[in-house]
Amino acid sequence: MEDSLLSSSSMAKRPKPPSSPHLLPDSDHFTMDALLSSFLSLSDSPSIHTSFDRLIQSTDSDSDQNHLIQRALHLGSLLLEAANRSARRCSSSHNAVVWPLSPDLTIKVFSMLDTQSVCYAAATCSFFQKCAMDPLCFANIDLATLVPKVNNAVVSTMIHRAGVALKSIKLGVLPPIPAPPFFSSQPLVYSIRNSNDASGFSWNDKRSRQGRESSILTRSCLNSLSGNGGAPGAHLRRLHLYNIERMDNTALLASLSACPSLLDLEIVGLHVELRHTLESVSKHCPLIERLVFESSKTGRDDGLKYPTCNEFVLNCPNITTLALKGFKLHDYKARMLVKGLRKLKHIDLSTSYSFTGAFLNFIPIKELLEQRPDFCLVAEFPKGSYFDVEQLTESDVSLSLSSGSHSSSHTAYHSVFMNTSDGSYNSDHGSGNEDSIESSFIIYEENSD
Amino acid sequence: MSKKMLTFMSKDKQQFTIEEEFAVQSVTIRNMVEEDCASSVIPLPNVHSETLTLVIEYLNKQASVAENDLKKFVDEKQISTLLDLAKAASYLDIKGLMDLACEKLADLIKDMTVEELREIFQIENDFTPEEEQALRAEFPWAFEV
Repeated sequence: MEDSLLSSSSMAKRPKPPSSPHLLPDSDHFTMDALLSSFLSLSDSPSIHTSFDRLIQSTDSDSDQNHLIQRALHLGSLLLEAANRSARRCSSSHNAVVWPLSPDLTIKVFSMLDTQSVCYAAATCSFFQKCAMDPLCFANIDLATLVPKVNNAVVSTMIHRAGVALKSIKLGVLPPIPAPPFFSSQPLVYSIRNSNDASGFSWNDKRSRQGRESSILTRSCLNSLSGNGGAPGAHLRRLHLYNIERMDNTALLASLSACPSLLDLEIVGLHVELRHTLESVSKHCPLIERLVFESSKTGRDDGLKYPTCNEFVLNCPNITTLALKGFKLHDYKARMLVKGLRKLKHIDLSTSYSFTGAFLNFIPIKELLEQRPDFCLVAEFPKGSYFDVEQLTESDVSLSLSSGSHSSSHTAYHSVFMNTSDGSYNSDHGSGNEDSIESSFIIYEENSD
Repeated sequence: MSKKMLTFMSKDKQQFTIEEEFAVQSVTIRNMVEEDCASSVIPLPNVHSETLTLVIEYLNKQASVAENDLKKFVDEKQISTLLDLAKAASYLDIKGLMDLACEKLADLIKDMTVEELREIFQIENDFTPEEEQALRAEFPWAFEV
């Protein structure tokens, strides 16, 4: 081995080294291995540096020096690449020891993670990345964020990854408050104008971003549901959409038509009309059990027609939970919904208006409560409303009335809910009587604008 | 009436006994019992005695303890223990234990960044710089601070 080292250094000392380097023939593995082995067993940096310097200095011509330097750089980088490759292989083996779970078991763990955690796991190591690509990890796509962060491409990719395993999608921009309980009159509608989030996302920003189409969600964000013969949408059970400014009636209809198995639909702050949505749901989602619809234009959507209600009631018999918040809703339509949806147990009409509560008089409350125990209605009725308090108390219903505390220029509203509690009649006004009531529904007082 | 006992032998040759009625929560064991291969000592070469102790503890507890209390079984366990438990539960096909261990692992993984994951689980980065860059570029929203 020393001989070969000496001979190579003596080569360098020759006055004119050949212009093309003396390359070892490919078949000479032994020599190559031996050379590499002895190079690697050299003692550390000072000797390599000084040896290379001597080599350069003993070379006469500039071009030969340059040539040697280029060779050193090239071979150096080849060696570095080979070493990195081996280092990665060692790391992979090490990872297999510290994480002994099989791919199936790892996928099982990942399928219990939220979407962002899956992305982080995928970026951790190559084994995790492989596992995180499995459709099961994207069965529940949760892309609802506090500020606009996600664009169409991300949604498409994930829907595509999930394929037929897709079960639920949550998408859009959440308001900067913790998730409210079901019965809350706090509007979930996120308005650019009243957002105070730290990113200083102002109206002007929004306008300047419109040029960059790709950075936010647009109306075609759910197009992938219909792709691939509608396979991804076919098994979708839950769809929650929050404040997607650009979603419109047509796009929503297209998405709903791709989701025949939908059980749970929540739409908050979208610029879509209640009537169109209910029509789509009636037409395409007969299995639906939970529908929450909160208007983006509180007070201005009055397009809900009787035939729409009727169709809805007929085609969607499985509804157990219904929330229509922020709409103009007449008494007879409310009555139809309460009476006609036979499995309806929770109905939330808070911040909806234009009904007086008279509809309650026409529903046989006692029967209703017998058929549907734990029935709960949340609504706001104007003061001096017309419903018959006696009928309610007679049927052993716990009834709480509270009047709005800050009336300012608005009419004070009563909040009412009824359920089948122990039958104790609460005469407590306005205070939190949660203790005496079995269910955990909270009484609140609110004036809607 | 004496209860039928089974004997397991761990990877490191330690023996453990357990009542058959508890042992058969493991589908693997149940199959062996049904096929009559469970008379003498059952070797479990994939399971270390430390893990097997815990598995047997779970199997014995499972019959008597309420589900909520059973969840505490995986609390305050080291990560390596949880991993071994998940693996053993999978090998022995004990659904309840497997679900518990996996859920606990998922809880640990949730809300951790990439760097934290590597630190906690002692995982090394085996991506090329290009691969890592491509991954972060695929879902930039997730990696935005």
